[in-house]
Amino acid sequence: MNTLKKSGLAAGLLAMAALALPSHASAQRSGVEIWAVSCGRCHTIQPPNRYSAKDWISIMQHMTVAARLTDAQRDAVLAFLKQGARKVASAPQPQGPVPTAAAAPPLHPAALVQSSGDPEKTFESLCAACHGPKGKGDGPAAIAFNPKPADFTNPELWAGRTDADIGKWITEGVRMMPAFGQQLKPDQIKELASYVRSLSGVPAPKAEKIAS
Amino acid sequence: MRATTHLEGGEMSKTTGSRAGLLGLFGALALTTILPMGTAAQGLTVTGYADFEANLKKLGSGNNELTYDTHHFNLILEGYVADDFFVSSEIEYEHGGDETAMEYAYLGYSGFKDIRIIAGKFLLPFGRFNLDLHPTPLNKIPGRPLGMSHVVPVGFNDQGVWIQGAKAINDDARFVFDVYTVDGLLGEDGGDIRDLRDNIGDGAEEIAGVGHDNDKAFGGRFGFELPFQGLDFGVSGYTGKYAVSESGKNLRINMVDLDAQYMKNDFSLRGEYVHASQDATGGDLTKSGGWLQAAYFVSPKVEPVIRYSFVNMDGKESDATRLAFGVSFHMSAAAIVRVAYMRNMEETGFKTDNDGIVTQFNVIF
Repeated sequence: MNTLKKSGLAAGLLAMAALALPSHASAQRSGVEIWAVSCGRCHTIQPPNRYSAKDWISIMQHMTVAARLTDAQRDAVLAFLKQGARKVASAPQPQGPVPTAAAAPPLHPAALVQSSGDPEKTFESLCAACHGPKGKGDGPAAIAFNPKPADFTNPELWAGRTDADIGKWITEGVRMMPAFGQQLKPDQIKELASYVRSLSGVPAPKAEKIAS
Repeated sequence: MRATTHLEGGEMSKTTGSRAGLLGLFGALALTTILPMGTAAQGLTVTGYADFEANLKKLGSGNNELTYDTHHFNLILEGYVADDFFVSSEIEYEHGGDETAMEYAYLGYSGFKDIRIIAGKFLLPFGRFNLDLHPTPLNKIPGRPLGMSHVVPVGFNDQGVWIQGAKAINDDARFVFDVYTVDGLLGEDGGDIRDLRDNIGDGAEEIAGVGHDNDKAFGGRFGFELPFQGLDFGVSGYTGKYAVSESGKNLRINMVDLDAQYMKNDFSLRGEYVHASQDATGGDLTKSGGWLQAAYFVSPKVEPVIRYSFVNMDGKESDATRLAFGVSFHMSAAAIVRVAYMRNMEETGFKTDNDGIVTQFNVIF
């Protein structure tokens, strides 16, 4: 029993130490990054439009336990999922107080505003978790996606595609990729579309660029 | 098959009516009843998973056996109740409905920063396979690895209170912890651990010679995670009285588990080791087991996997190892076909007639 008591005491001390640790705000990683990596550690990624916002609120309660997220990480993921959630006609809206996450602001707006004029930062924040830091479709979350994230460095991907097409994908989402139209300003979308195409080394014809 | 179904607060009672272990759900229902309308229930979301298997067994015996099994049709009910309360439950229909069970049913509270308090029946956070990886859509080889059956009795669930937390150390690293107290395993002196799970009801208490009392089991898991680097590992422990001997001595079972996981690009590597010591009148039992699994996406839809597992029971005649090869065909984000070949080796001699091929179709809904 002495060993057991010591073990219990050690466990208790570890738990207390954990509670006493300073909590990191964890606001630098975007919701999409945390979603892609944390969910993909166990199962195939389910796209945001698989469920309604109301469903995600419920699902994320249990998934926060399963994925062992911090509150800040949960809030960031839920804010992201709700923005891309399936729209349900005449679905009743949640009544009364809702979890912190439900009232969370759009995806880290401060970081995104700061990224204006620097599409590489926007790419790192929103795209790299799935598409990889160089856009090769090999981000840390890629293993959990089916189909896999696109390889932006493949020139064939862009054949017949205009920057307007890319901008539309970013704005509205495509296949497994969620929509980012609510999180990015029009100029950021335009910059990001050009940057994504540039990863293949194939410039867009002038006539195909998104009109200013 | 519907993708998702909503049951509003007033309809929640339609989903219940099961057995013991509904503390969490009942608690949540009670809350929805007594709370004012402004904080009434937000409804339940029903998801789940199902799988069908074709098992070809006794390979090499000249008398192959092919059986079909609607192994799981499990409904997962998740509800945000009000304020920081939530409920979650998994109702398990196994083997074509022949076995029905409540895998877990709990009431959760998330009002403290980075802390979740859970009360009810839950899967114990003991290692990774039991809590996170054993559901068929997540388990890359059908069935449990050796060691996750007769050392850790997956699915290992019990009733009690569980405190879970996560602390971000920086943007990429977090420390996670789970501590819990539960009624504990209960069964015969020196009994098989899978039988000790049946700890609910007077029958189990009679067999164990003692009912649940103040001597609760407790345990926990402490982990360190670098999710963006694809790395995490943890250590788990469990201790509890499971029986009283005829001489009146308390018999305990103690378990320690180490788990680790690494994921990079299309490659994943997971492993777990467990060691258990079990008091018994006929001589204390020491058991250990573990598994190591590697998987790699050779194409976006095809993922071969290999898993080695072993179990060392107390007595070499029961030791065994298993080598399993499989391929997962990811038909979509919600449907997977798996084919796996399992080659079993026991200390009593190499047996070919318990080798088998499993073909499994599973969906998430």
